Amino acid sequence: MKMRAFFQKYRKDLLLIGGLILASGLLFLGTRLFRHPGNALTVEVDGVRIAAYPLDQDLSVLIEAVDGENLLLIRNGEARIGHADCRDQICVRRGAVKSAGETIVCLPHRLVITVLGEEIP
Amino acid sequence: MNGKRIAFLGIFLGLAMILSYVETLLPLFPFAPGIKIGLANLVTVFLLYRFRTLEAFLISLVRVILSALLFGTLFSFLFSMSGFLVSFFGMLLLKKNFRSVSVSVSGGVLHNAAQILLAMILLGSREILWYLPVLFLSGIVAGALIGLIAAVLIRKLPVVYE
Repeated sequence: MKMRAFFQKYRKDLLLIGGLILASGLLFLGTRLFRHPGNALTVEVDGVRIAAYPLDQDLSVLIEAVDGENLLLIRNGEARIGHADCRDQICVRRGAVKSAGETIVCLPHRLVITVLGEEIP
Repeated sequence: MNGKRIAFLGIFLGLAMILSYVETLLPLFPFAPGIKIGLANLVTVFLLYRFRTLEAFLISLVRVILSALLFGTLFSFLFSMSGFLVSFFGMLLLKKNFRSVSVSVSGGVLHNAAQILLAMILLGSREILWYLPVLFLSGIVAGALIGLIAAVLIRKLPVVYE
């Protein structure tokens, strides 16, 4: 089918998909623009905050989460999971976070580490 | 509903289960938790267009439950279920006006968006929203892939007992 005819026939669908792609692009820009440097992080397990640490001090702490453990490493103002015994290892492969609002999530362990933009409340 | 129809639906359920299992073997994408291709949704989309709505719903529902029992945890079941319900009814509504590929894309996006929302509620963290762009995009890509395959099947598969 010729290009023009293609766009005409599938107009609605292309608009929908295009709209969704645009939306995700905007969302992505949004996350980029509203970034603030982080200076602390909180550790929540199952929705309960169990610890908080500043980012300016290097540390390594083993977090006892639900069904497993995660090793939190803070170095050079960045935080990452050094090691975890969850099956998917998404938290480990996430890499380092350092901006306010960034999170490292280990879903199987119900662990959420959130970087904050102001001092630990 | 007769024996032959039930038998064919059973085959589709089995197929969905296998696709679901195959998915557990695929490597996971590192940027966000819960990113999947959603292979089993291939069956859901196919059934939506070639069988009755109720049949598509029930087969997929049973697949979600059985998959969770076999491969998942209670926690993962909550996520699967919420993603499925939102995406299924979304697809059902869109089916009237859009073709299978875009319906599948929307299904993928809705599935992921619902799971993010649930994660935010269950884990009490608003910051999880930051994953939304990634999950949106992966929902679109996965949905498109599944939708393209489903579209071919919907059109080319000989009339199975319907």
